[in-house]
Amino acid sequence: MKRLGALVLLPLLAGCTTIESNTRIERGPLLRTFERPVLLEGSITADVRADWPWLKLTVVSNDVCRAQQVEEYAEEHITERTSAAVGPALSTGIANVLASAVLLGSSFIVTSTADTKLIDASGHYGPSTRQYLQGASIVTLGIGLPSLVVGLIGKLRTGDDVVTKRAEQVVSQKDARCNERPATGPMTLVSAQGVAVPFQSVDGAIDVDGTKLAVVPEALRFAEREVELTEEARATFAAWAACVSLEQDKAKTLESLSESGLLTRAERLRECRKIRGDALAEPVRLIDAELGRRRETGSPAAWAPGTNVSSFEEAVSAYAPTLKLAVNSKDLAILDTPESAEGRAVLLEGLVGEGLTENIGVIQVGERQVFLFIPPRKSWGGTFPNGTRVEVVALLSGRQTLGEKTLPLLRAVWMRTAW
Amino acid sequence: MAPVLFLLCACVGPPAPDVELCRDVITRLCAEPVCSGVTAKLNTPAMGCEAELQRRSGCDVAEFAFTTPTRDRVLECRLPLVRESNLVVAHPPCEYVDETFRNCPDLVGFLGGTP
Repeated sequence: MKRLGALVLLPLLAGCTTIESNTRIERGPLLRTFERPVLLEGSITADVRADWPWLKLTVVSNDVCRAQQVEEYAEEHITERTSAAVGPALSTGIANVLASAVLLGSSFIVTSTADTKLIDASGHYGPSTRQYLQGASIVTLGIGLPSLVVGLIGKLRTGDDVVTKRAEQVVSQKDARCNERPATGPMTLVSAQGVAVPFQSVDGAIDVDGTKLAVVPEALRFAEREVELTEEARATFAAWAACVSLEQDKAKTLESLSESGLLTRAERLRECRKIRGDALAEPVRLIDAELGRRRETGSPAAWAPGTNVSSFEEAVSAYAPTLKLAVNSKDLAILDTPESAEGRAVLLEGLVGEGLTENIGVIQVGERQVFLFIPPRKSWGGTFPNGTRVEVVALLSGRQTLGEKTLPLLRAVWMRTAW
Repeated sequence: MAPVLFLLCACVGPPAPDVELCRDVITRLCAEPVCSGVTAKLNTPAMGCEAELQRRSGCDVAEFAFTTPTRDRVLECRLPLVRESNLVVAHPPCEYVDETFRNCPDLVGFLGGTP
């Protein structure tokens, strides 16, 4: 029974003290440095060669061999266990137990004779002085002993634990392509609309006939992974794709194409010509002739500046400016009689001057000034603050009077910062 | 349990002998000024109340021991007399003396009075 009581009492007393645990890590000395090789999944690349109508692909997969430089340290995990209750409990316990001992000791040097001056209701004399002191000793012991036990248990449970472990730190790593091998598996050519044309690569080799395709491919995928291409390979693939597009579009005559369709075909011809060379010289000549004819005879609305080109180069290509308005250019003489050259494309180089209205500004060309009309639906971006040097593809549009100024008016087709 | 018993025992001394208990009752009854109930019930003399009652009850000898009434009965009858104080020299209020006589005619008889 007594043992059971002690077993119950001890955990209860131990529960009175809250132990706070705090672990910190201290790095020790460097033990060693070593290199750890790690093999990671690499990429899929392809070598691209075009020999119209064939696209010859050599698909190669590789791994990434990573070399990690690792430093190994000794690391000490120090766990500190403290309790705010231990100190007060111990001091209370010690003080009361000592007081109890003093009271008990003192009781033996005082009288043990009962107090005969009183007899209580039960017929007993009053307690002796010794009995008083021993009773007080028991009370102080009853306070001091549990406090002492709680304090001692708390003291035993507090302290520091140090565990030494090894820790690693990757200080640097270097990746390199490795294990290159021809890739065998499912390959797809994917169009801009997401249509996939499946092929099967054998030992990495695939030959695609551009005349047999129903879509224009835009990307290469191998087993659902994007095939990475070098800049040169990407250009070759884009040129071959342009040829595929022309092949699929060859039934349409030049006369049946809209202006934008005509410009698109001209762009594709220039792209395809990179791999087919002089074989496309005649189609290029024909489409340039058609573009020139439409500039001369087509409706002005169809050629509304800034609406049907998407780059400066395309504007130059499409409008083929024959006059250059720049400092010291002999063509500046045309500004004396702009009405005589109305509708002609010019290449203008100058400095941005003041803006007169939302869409009309002044461009300074040497000592000459012109008005430049910028259409509301312009395709180019950017801002051109005063003093910016710009180059503009524009159409001569006669003369314009704004305020006190009367200057030649040019309608911008494309405008960009010059440097 | 031992410490608890020890603690309880520390509050009281040993039992008083029957003769001391008897004399304690008589001392309280004869404490000056003597209550009128004592004189009326016990017919005590004006002087020497204690000596007279000890003689009548027999507790004037050291070997005295209670028979009738018993020690427990005397302790029960004595309760009103010690209600205010346990001190032997304390004078109990007269109404408590009257209560004792009312409740314990056997004690009155034991002290030689008229129940």
